[in-house]
Amino acid sequence: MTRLILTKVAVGAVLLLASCGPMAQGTPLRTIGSELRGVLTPSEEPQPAAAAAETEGATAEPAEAPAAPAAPHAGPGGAGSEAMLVSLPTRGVGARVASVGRNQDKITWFSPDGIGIVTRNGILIGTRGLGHDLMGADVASFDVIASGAANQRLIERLTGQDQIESLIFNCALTGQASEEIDIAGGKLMTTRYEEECRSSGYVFTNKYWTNESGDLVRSLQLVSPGVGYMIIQPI
Amino acid sequence: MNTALLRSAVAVLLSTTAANAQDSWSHYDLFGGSGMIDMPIATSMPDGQIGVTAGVFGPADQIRLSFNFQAFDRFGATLRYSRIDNYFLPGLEPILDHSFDLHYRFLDETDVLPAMTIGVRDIMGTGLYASEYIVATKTFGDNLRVTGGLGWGRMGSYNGFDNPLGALNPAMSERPDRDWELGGKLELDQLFRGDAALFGGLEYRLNDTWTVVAEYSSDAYAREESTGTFTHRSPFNFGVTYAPSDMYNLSAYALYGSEIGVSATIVLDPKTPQFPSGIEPAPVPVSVRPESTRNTETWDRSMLPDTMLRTLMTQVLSAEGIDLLALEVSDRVMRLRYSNNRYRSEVQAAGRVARILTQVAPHSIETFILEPVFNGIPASAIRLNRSDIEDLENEPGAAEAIYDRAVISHAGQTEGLVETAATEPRFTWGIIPYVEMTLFDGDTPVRGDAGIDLKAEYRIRPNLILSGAIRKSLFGNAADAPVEPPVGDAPQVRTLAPLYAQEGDPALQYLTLSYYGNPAPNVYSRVTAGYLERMFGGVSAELLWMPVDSPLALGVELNYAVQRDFDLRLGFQDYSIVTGHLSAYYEFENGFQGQIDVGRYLAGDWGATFSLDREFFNGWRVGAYFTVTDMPFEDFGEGSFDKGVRVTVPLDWATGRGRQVLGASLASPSRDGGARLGVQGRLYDMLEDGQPSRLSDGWGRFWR
Repeated sequence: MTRLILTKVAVGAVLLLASCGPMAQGTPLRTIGSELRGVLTPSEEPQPAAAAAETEGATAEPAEAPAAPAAPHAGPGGAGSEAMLVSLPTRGVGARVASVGRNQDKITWFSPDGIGIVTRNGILIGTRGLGHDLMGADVASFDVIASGAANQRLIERLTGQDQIESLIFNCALTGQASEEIDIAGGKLMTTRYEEECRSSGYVFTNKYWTNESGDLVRSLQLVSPGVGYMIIQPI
Repeated sequence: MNTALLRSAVAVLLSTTAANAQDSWSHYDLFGGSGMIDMPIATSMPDGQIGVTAGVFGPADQIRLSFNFQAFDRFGATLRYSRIDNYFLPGLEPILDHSFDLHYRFLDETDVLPAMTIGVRDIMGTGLYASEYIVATKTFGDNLRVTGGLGWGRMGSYNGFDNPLGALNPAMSERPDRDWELGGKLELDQLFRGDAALFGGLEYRLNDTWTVVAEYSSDAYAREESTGTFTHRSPFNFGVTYAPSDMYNLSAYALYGSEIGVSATIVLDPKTPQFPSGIEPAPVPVSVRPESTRNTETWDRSMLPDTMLRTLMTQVLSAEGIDLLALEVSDRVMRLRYSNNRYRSEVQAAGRVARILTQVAPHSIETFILEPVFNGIPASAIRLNRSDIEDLENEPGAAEAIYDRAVISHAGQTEGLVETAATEPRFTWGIIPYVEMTLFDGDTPVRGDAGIDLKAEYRIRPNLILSGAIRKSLFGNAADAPVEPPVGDAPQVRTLAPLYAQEGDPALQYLTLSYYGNPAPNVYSRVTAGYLERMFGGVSAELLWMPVDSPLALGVELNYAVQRDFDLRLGFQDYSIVTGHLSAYYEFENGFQGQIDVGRYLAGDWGATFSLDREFFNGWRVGAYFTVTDMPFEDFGEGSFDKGVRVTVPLDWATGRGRQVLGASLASPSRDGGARLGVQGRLYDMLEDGQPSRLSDGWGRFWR
């Protein structure tokens, strides 16, 4: 797959010169050309992790702010924060995301290149723009997860035929330990929770780090089988 | 970054089961179907899969280019072009041949039973490969597949024995010769007749990428051997296949003790796009009204006058690639007509419109009615409750829930709507490269042409469009094709294509004024005038009856067409014709769409075109068609009648965004019989994406 697309890009780069004008927007060559950028955007060629994984310097505003952004909020989306650092380790990319909307306890965050992320009390329940998005999720709250109670998790994804497909996992806490982590330029003593979720075809392990007051300060959560994990760190 | 974190994150999270791996074990043989080397197996390709295989072996110098489509779970078809050197006699021109295979799996593999398939190879025309078979395949463990079968025709030619079917009917023991005349017709009188022979083989998968094959072939290659260019030393063939990805594989073969062959297959799975959820930027979040304002009866127009609201909405929607064409606003209801210029999925566009409305619509408005428009014509209406959008956003099961609460019906009256600035005349243009290729046209394996199109469109009204294109060929050999002399009395139309290629460069491809209308509920109209296509200009009028809740649509088209000058400028020739068709379109439950067009074609011949397409929810289409008319087969020439296979690929399948499609067809060379006017903007294709059944099929994208 990768090689095929890259070949197209190489061919496209030559022919792009010949393709112009408003009607040419969205033609194959144009479209491939416009994919050669991106922060969280799926890229055919993963960028080096070092280049993009830590983006604490990034301050760009969301590229597509909504027409009337919801009022600033204070909530446990990340202990009252209005921005988070997120990264996709398998793609070696990361970004700072800003909160742009709130619906009850669900917060929508945008990255500068237009990727959307939805959390509910710090738990990832949706993404938009990653190619294999988490379209919806039914997940226990972090309190339930941390309590060690077994729980069921439903995640929804789009099939290649535009249908919503649900995957159901049985999840349970498999580990809890103290850990000192590097965060925001300093060291922080945390409690690390590991949660394993299984279905017939897949298994994944989410991790959560909380500070002394029990707030989530970092987490590693599955987006979808196609994307892998996302690291989320409120700031 | 914390290295421990990174390590655990990168750890593979997918544990694919053996069953999944086995499903993907498909192998395209030298004939481009599911098989070993020259012999088929009973296992089918995955439903919907397309395999394009190029195979060659020598010194006998045979080339096969095959297109295989698993049209249903059990049924597939293969279209093949082949070039065989010295087929007739040494020193003569090689034969270029088309062949067509069908195969049907009538038994599924179980723990005990093998899968079984019955198939016919090369069922039309010359029958150089004509054979029939029944084959059984059983998988042992994860990596071994064993196949045995019984073949007739060529597959009954090595170590053949009396046809067992002769016991049922003595006539089956003799295989009549095939009289193919001009080729291209179904040839059924040979099927399963004459000697039969056994074939079989083993496939063993060494690992995920390498597979080895050994086969016992029942094809004696008698014809090729008789011309002295092929030596059949052994019935045993051996091969190795390297499949580093799901997208392609490469094979090498040792054949019949004397030949070496290689093949390469590109595998396309229409059901598996690169990015199933697309990579367009996220939609705006839903803005939720405070509970207290949800039941407000009205809104303050002194704060937000209608005109300001229209302007604001036009701007905001245009940032999403959506043209707001008309708006009706009351205290509680807002109705919009819009056209989507960005998203392949009309459902995705509708979802985005709904989200934006929650941001901009006054709080008292509780009902949104969205009417997607195509060339100025609304195709349907989607009625949504704003509260439902607010309540369901980012909830599990939201797509199904909003579908259950939405009401989809036909578009409302034009009355009450106020047009926006987006309906003012607008001009757009583009320079877009094109490639055109014809395979096996006459005696040339590939004839092609590449260059650029300068396209321009002036939208005088949303439904009144002036559009044109100028084409400049940059390289290719389309102009080198010989012009065939006329056969019979029929006027020459498509066979003149080489003259247009020679003299018409640069070419005015088309220049038309089109008007679309919606004269009555469920009835749509089109009138197109000007230079309609490369070879004809004139006037084309169409009427389509397409009820929103019916799988059946009926249309009528009438054209007056005048043949254009070969220089493809503004002039016309003497030949003119009135053509037209009655068309019936039917959408079957299982994703198939059938179409029958009955009428008069460009050369004045009367007849009908039958088409059947499989339409995937993601926009892929794979189909076949044929046209039979009263033009005698001998006047039609090679192929006897017009037929072909066509594929439409939505661009976002490969790139994750955009609404462009790429079309390709594998057709017999265009001739004079059954030639239909190539006018653009036919109504059914234009409107079908907005039909309620289509919206319902792709509803999963509403929140995307």
